[in-house]
Amino acid sequence: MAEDPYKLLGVEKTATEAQIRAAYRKLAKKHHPDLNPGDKAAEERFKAISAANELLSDTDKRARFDRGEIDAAGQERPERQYYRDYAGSAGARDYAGAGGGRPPPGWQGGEDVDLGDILGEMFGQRRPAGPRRGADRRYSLAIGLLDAVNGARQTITLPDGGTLEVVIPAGIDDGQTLRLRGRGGPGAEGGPAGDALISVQVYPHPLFRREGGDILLELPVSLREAVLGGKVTVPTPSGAVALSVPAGAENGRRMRLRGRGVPAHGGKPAGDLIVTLKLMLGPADPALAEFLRANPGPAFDPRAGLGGEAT
Amino acid sequence: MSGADAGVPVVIGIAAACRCVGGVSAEMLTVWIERRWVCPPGGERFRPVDLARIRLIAELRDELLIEDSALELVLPLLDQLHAERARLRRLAGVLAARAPDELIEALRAALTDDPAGG
Repeated sequence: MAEDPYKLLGVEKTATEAQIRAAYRKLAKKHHPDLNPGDKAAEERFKAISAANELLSDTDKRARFDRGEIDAAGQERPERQYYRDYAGSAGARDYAGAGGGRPPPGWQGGEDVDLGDILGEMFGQRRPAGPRRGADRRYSLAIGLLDAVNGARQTITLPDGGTLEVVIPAGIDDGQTLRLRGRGGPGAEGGPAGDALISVQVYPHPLFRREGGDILLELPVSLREAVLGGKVTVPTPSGAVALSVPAGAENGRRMRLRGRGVPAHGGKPAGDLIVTLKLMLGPADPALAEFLRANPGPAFDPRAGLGGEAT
Repeated sequence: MSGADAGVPVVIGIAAACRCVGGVSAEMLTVWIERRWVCPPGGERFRPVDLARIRLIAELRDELLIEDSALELVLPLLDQLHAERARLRRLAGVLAARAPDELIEALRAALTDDPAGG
């Protein structure tokens, strides 16, 4: 499917990590979309180079690729926004020096009209070209992590007073773009309307952190729960569940709740909730202190193997 | 189409902007604002264009290893390029709406006779 990442970066199969980084940097400088604002194809080339670099600079992934276990396509990367996507917007006037920029289009981003399109329209074909598709319009939407994980419905208020109902699919990730067909600018002479492109920003959550399809959670447990084990209630993105903490669980122990992470979406299976236990001593208990003083317990040096003398 | 930046979602505060972009420290961003590489209105109201610009600067520095002294040169050139493109876009818009077919034809010929400007 995708091209050979070695060929894409122009390096040998035996290339060192440093050689790969250097080859990537050289190509990325040439093809970065923000350094090629007029070249629509630059984005595709840059994406391919970045994907190749990502694959080959990860020792583990590279080894798996070399063994033929994974193909070069890997994961579909979320669509991202480049600076050039905003450079025609009202805000960019602040960066354009005197006399630069364009009259404010109201909402950020404005109409997604490319110079090449206009010139192509003007100079490529003759004018009045019959029905033309409306322009795409870009908006941005910030949502919480739980809405991103579980999916949600949001309404964007447009500068002209209209509204846009956005259904956020479960599992969407930060930086991805939603396309609402036909909700952009109106078409000309009977042409179809353009699309609304909504770039989604996900705000961090105080408890949960997302890593791909998995959700990470640090779960405080009491000394009693850690020593004796027992059922504790764990918040998950889809509601609380009970978790059995095994007797003698160590601080920092990771436990996996299968299928309790990001729900299945777009052909990807549901991720897991990965719980890291955090031992909390709580208020001092004189009886416990008394017990520990009277019972030295089995010989245990948690600092054994750190090297040097334990003090 | 009125009311300059009305309705644009903004992120308020340097710390929040850093969180939004990722991989940029507050100290770093403060320096960039002092150098006027990033110009959030009021010094701390970051619009999408400002966040995208922070991301771009971070990528140029940290991934492509372009040094600050070179960025001093690259960023103004990039801004000039965008300003000129905006101007050209306005020109093309006026021409498309008003210019006679004859002129359009002449422009088309002139541009196609001169591939890649040389």
